[in-house]
Amino acid sequence: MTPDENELIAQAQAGDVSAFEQLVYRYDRQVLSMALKYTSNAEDAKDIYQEVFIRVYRALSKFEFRSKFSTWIYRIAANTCLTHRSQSKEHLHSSLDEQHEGEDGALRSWSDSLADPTLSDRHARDSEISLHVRRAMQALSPQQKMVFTLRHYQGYKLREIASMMQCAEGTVKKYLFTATERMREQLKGVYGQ
Amino acid sequence: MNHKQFRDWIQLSLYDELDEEEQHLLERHLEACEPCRAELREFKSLHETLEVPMSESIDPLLKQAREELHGALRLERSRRSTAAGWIARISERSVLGGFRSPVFLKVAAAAVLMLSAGIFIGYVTFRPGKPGPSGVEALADVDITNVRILDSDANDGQVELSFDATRRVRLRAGMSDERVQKVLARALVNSQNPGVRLNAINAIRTYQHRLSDREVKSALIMALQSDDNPGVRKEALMTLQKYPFDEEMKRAFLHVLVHDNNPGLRIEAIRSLQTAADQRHLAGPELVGILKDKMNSDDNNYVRIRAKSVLEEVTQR
Repeated sequence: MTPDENELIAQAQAGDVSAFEQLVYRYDRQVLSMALKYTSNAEDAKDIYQEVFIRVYRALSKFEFRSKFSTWIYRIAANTCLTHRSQSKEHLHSSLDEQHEGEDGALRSWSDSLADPTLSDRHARDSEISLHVRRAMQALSPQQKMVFTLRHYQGYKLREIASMMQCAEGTVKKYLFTATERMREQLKGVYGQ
Repeated sequence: MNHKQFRDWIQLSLYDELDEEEQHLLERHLEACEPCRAELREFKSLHETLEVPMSESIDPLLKQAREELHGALRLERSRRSTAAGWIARISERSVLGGFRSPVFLKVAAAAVLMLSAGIFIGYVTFRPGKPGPSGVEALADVDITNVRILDSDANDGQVELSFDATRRVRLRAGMSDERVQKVLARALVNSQNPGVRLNAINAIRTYQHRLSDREVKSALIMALQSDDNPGVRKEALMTLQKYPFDEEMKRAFLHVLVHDNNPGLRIEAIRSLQTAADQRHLAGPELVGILKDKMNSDDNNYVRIRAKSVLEEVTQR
């Protein structure tokens, strides 16, 4: 039987390490995925992941069940992303050397993927598009990128995003429209071919 | 209603963010407006393009991130317990009115000495008028990390920085030296290398009769409960067995019995509890509950038998 979440929170607040880990495992995939989409960089995403859960650990005793626990965690995650300073100063330029997981599960760099003669045309094209999308994302402001990541890739509703980012839903909409517009400009010539 | 509004609605519609009425209005508009239909096609195409990177798997990265978090949390707990230990010691002394006790005075004197040394080093390093070589010289063998600029206002010609300065220290002293004990306790809790943690425990165990620092015992308990290396946990448990049994140790052994996934460690924990039961140090409903549970449900046969035996001893008294 899966333990009740409130019970786990109470146990973790009382210092039970195993309960805290169970809570982490419920949400950490989503947090890492959000960070990875937001930063487009594995090392930065791991830094954010760690900072989020250390913040959660430190603040857990102050959690008073007034909001959903998931919202509380994602709010911390969103704030951490927005205030994160990338350690990899040049990841936009070096992104071709960054590693990603191929279809066969092996790690390889984007430049290797694009140059691999055995790669199917479709996969090569997907890799190329991926690179363009990542670059376009990096050109957005932190808030635009956050809203776009949460809405487009994480599937959150705009009102949920407003709650996570602690701003009005109208503001979130503005960020989304501007982000989409800028993505559209950046990716002109890539899509619809 | 203008095109700009419908254009926004087209985007919201693709995210299923329109209510029924808005969706209906948009559809009616699209039937009559070719530019907006073209806009919809373009947004759909953009969305398809944006879906491409979703195929990457994050599992290997998640595994790494979890391992690193595990280590970071261990450090966090150690910081917390060290701070809690100091607070407990200070409040213990204040409750007992022990500010005048010789031990407290020694600690206070040491603190004042350390503070004075810090001020002196700060003065030597940063005293006005000698900013150049002497300051750099004083920091020559120090690793500087985590630099923050607190005040960069150029008007007064001064800047204010904060940073962590670490220096390799060589310490040769007896095992009864409090500094040695503290360093060993920190190594046990903070070192990333399990070999260093094991060496720290071995040193603690060899000279245990000379060790009085509570931090050492706390570090052993922490290692027993949270070290990810079973060898380190086992050595910590064996070393703790040599300390006089108390409530803190009972909790630690019960924690192992309930949470540790290594049957060898659960057996050692129950052996320690058995010894404590023999010496009539053991009681409490929580203990009985855990033993009953272990007696009935532990997946290791030997643990079940020993749990039953300790339970009988505890309940017969």
